[in-house]
Amino acid sequence: MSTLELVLAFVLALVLGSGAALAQTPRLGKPISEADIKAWDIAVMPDGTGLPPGSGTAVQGARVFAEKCSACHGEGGKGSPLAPAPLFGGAPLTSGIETPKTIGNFFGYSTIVFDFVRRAMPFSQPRTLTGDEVYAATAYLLWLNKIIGENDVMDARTLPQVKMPNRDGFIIRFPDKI
Amino acid sequence: MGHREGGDALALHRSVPVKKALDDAMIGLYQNGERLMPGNGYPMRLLLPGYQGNMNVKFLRRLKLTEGPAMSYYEGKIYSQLLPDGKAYRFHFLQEVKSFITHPSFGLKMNGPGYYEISGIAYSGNGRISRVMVSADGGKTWAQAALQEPVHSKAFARFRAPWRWNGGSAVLQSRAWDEAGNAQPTRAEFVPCGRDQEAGYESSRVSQPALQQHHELGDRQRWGDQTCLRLSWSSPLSSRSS
Repeated sequence: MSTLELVLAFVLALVLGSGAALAQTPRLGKPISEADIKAWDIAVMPDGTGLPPGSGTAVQGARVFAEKCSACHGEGGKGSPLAPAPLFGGAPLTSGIETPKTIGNFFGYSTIVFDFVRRAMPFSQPRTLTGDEVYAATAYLLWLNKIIGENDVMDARTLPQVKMPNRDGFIIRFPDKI
Repeated sequence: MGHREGGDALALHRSVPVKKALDDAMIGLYQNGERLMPGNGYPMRLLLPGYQGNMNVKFLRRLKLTEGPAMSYYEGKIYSQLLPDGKAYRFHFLQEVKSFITHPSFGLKMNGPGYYEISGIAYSGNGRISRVMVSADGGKTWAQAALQEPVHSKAFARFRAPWRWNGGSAVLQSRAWDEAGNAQPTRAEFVPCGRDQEAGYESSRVSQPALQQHHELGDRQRWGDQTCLRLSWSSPLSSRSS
């Protein structure tokens, strides 16, 4: 099914559903402005769709990390009592099904790092990092995992091109359900 | 895939197949006649019948139609189950066929040999439960349990079977099938999807929280977990004789 067909199918379902639902709607909430939706529209897709402007390198990211991340994740991402799991390395995934997952040994897409740092970190102040800071922190984490060089510039074009070591390590469990 | 995101601090987001969205996905505003409680996702949450609980995004704030999955942190890392060969399941969101015995169970006082009801719960994310078989001799012989009507799709179904206990050790097991013909896997079949057999399971992290339920009577064993109850009956047995 093409993207257009998907969109049409979805819109149709909304239209068909709305007539019956309207009479019973509990009249909760209020219309939201496009600007407010845009502020929430932060998902980054594996192909880089949704990546914002900005750029950063691991060298720059090391400074961001030391200032905004290391309080929990420890110096150089090695972990601390607040967030014990190291952010790099990891045993081979054949070491057992409880093997700790890291960016280096598990993540299939570099965009996962960017998306999660931007939406959820720092833990106490999510959504406070600038675009440049997120790119830099992402570059630093990829560098810690020996995936990119310390001066490689990560931006909306280069980040999705980073080939993650475990890209092909996944099996879709229920292909017929998707 | 569509994309659903919550308004929690981490803005948890999950990819849901459009097929599912158009089938039976719901947005929950109320539960049991009142507004959702905060811990359950107030003001609204997604509800995907038959899917793992973590897919039912709480504090729902946004649905976005996308061409493919977002590969979010939660599906790209957390809820991707690692397998023994080093590969990992991606999008194993379905709750597969499962049954478990709730009676007799831990803490029940057995008042001597005699008739007891074996009863429990079965469900399948694929549809209705069609059959539950029960064994009281460790799987050597099986009897079909009665299902309490109505049996709803993707919902708990209560099963019951009479059992005459002779007072000795017994291993009780149940196994379920759904209307699509899917069978609850045996423990040996299930192990590749979860933890090591001896270690038991952590059902919240695996797609098919399992198979045969073991209730070992008169055998002092540690508590297992939801899916592998190894129960000690020595305490109820002593109180019976006193």
